[in-house]
Amino acid sequence: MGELTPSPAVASPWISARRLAAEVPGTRRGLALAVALGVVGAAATAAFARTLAVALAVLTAGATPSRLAPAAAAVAVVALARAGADLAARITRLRLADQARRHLRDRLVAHLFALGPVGVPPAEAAPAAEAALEGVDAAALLVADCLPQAALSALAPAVVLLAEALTFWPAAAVLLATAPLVPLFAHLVGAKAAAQSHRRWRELDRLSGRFLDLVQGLSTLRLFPHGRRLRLMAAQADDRHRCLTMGVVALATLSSFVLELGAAVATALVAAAVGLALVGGRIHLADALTALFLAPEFYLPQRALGAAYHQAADGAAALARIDRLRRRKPPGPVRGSRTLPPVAGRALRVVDLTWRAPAGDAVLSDLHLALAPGERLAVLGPSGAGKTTLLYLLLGYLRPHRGRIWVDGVPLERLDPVGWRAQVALMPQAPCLRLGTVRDNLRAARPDADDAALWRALERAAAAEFVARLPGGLDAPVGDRGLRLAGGEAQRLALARLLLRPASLILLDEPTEHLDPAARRQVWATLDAHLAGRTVMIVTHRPEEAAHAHRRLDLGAAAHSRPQAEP
Amino acid sequence: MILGRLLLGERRPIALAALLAAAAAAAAMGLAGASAYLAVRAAGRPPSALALLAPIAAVRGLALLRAGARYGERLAAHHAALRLVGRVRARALSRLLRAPPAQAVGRASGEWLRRVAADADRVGGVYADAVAPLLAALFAAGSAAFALPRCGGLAALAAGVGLAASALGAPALAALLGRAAGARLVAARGRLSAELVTDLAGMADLAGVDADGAARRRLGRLAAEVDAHRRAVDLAAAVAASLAALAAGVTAAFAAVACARAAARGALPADLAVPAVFVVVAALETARAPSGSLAALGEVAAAARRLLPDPGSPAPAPPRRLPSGFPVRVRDLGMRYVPHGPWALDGVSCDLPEGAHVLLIGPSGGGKSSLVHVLARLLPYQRGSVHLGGAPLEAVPERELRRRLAVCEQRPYLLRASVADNLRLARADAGANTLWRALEAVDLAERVAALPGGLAARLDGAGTVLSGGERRRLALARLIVADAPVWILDEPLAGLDEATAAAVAARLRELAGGRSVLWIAHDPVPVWAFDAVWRLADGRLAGADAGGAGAAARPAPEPPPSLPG
Repeated sequence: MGELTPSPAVASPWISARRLAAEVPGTRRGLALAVALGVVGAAATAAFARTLAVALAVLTAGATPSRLAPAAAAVAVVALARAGADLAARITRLRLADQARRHLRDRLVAHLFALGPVGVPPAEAAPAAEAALEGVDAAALLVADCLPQAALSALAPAVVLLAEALTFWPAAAVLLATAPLVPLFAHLVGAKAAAQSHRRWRELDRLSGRFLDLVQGLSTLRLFPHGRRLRLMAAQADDRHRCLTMGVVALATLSSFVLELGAAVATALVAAAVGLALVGGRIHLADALTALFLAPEFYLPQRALGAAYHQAADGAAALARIDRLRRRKPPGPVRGSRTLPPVAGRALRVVDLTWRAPAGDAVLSDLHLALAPGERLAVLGPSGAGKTTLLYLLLGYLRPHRGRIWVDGVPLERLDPVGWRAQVALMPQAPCLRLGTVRDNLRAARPDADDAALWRALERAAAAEFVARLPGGLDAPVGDRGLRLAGGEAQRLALARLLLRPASLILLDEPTEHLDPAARRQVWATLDAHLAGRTVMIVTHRPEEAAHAHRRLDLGAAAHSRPQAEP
Repeated sequence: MILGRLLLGERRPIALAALLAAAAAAAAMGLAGASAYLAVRAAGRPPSALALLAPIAAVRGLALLRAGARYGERLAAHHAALRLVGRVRARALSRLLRAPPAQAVGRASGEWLRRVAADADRVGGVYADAVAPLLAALFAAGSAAFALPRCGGLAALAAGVGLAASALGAPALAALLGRAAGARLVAARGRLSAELVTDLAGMADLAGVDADGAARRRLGRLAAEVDAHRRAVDLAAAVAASLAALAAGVTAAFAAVACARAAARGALPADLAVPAVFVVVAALETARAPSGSLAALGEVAAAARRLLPDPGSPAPAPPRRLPSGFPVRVRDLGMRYVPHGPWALDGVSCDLPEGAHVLLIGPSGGGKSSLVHVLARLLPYQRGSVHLGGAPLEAVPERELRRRLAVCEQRPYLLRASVADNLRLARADAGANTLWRALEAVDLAERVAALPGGLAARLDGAGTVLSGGERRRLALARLIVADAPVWILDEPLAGLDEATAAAVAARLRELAGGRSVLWIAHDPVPVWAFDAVWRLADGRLAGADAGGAGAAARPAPEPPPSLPG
């Protein structure tokens, strides 16, 4: 299978996390606070070990419970302080996650809408939305959990080590001696795990493509003897993914095994050293017990780091997916700010327009075209001749490689894209109805339209009759992508939606393709009146439909010469 | 409930992981106790260091045991979790494949994708995130609480209560607080995801409509709602975890007092009092681990309920029957989308004998696509009968049906895979020559040959971009590859320019010899001369007198159909 789009390498999780922290404003302060609270927590833990050890020393000295009470009360107070620091740190991290999520998601959603239907084709809508929701959730944890954990894995052991050194320095020496071995080995294992992890993410990418196909192409897949096989293929992919993940997990836990082992051996060594020192009478029992309590705490943050690494790898992969979407540039004229005064119809002039497909073939070359306000042009040509491309160029969703488009004497790239698109109404080849009722769909085009206006538009699109017959009428659900309606019904509903828009340039891409001849005649009878005065471009392959236009432009045979609009 | 059943289904790997978790907890508690005992014995200045050898050996052995058990536990837990994810996903997918299309497409496809991918992960991860730590916590708290009552007194009781609060109370509190918010979070996230997908998919249709940003503001409000629920769930987890930490600290103090009293009374050997406190402290460390993670349980349960609703009892499958030949016979067919609703097909009777070519026309909404869906067994019908090769349609095994009946839908779907993969969906073992011939027939061979990679060129957003007409022709090529004796073509030439349409129609005509064809169209079909024209309007069929679709008008090139009965 030719891999035209290999997944980009997922950067090291920590690098991704730092990059994200630099991007989200306010993160540095929150991170500093979270880390500071973590250090306070580590200090509280050391204090807890100390107070508990003192209490126990009092206990072994044969103290009465009444003499023990103050020591026990000190333990409780320190426990309260520790819990407080813990809660404050958690809430700080929670707010960090919230902040990062909002920042990433709002930007990404705005970017997706700026990319438009060319940058995010309808079939990509679901995975793009998934990246903006689930992906953002995973990426936000990079800054909220993984980064503070990484900082604390260095700082918290330092606090514990200091406490240990103040209590019983030989124990601190043991901890210090074993400490570097652990990150060293973890790093060696981690490098191997990263390579495996990369393979795993590629597999996961393929897996989600399969799921998407299964979900979106369901009705088509069921028609083929091997449609059900796809479920098996997804199951196999799932199995492969599990094997790869287990490989990564086995390696990742190997590093935590080394950590555990290091911690265990160090604890045992500290216990032996403390024991011998006690026998020699060199330390008090309270110090000895403190040293014992503290020893495992030294390794605890590093163990948490091992767990965080997994999360970080997930987050980095999600961020890579988000970045792939963010790298797509809005192709259209984005710099413009001019707006046009409202008129009935626009004047269009297209000069020397050339646009090449990403593969390099010229789809449109040297196109010249002039349209007066209120003029109607039929665009004809074989499939692949660039008819739809021309419409997207006019909407500013594609940028021409050469040539220019003028609207009422203003170059298209000088216009404010949102304001310009509000003046244009497009009916795409495969209209997309939204999940909801007939009314929801029509109101999407004009939110303030009342029922009478909706029925008028339906009437014009020859859709009033069938909508009236639907159970619920305007409140009848149309299903995802209008799949509850017959093809011709969905098309007429889309047409009614288009007619609700107050546009001065109307672009129709095969507007009556799925209609029967009677409905087609009915639609055109009312459409002719509605389009009067507006500038209209109709992409069609039907000569009788082209007859409703004033002129025709044939992109067909002349694709490589200079197609001219002929009067 | 659902979660419980799921976990039961994977009980063996889960039991193994739980066993290892308990072993790790026991080793950790033993290690703490042994090292404390070592210190206490040493503080007593034994006459010889030999007296310390046994506790030192115990400390080392338990340390190694703890490390090994934790490693094994982690591997086992991941294994169990991944198996759970796979199981959940497989069940969700088969449910999706079994659901009638009208029901399946009732939901936004983005919403389904989210369920199959993310929700399955979440539901499967419940073991590693919540169940395993909880089991270990219960074990640790239980074994420590077992030892404490021997100390007797109020302090011991308080320590027991503290352990219970840490191991059971905090997780229960988290689950309780997170429950309602989690369910609301799942619902709100579903709404947001559906809205976002719809808005993105409709960008071309509604370009410039949202100039004042109202739709974007609505999305923003939905997102803010999701964030609020998410914060509530996270806050529940944070509060529960901190409360568990507090309970652990206070419990340690009470345990110290309890052990002191017990030692003073002589109920506990003096040199065991300190190790006992160490054991309790170690138990508390394990016991408070799951506290926060259970806040996500409400969310996961809500996701599981939506992903895997209780399966109703499946309709009994009729006995299987192999069709002989491929005549299609429809008698008094009645179909409607909703019970008691209007009939979409009302008393349709027709015959499509082997080798007959029939044109089906009618206004849109008249029932043409409904008939296609019934014949392709994508939708159930409520009245009448449909037979394929003498066998009732519902009795024909799936494979046999798909081999005999090839459908080119009005809106065919192409996989995000290579050209070859898309074509081989129809016949897995088709050779490259077969594929090229099929592409040739739809006038697409040259275009595909020019693609980078040829047949291996991938058809996804980032790769090859085919125009609307090219995609439709590729779907037709897929139909040709299927090589089925019955073709059902739903507006196969829609969107093609006249010249291409004529060329494709001519090639299809050549390939259609001997096959039955039901062609749905609005326009005259070039080159073809049909045996009969049926007209379907308001769910009623005209032009098809039961028993003869005019097959007699054209001798079938194959032996005449033999209709049993």
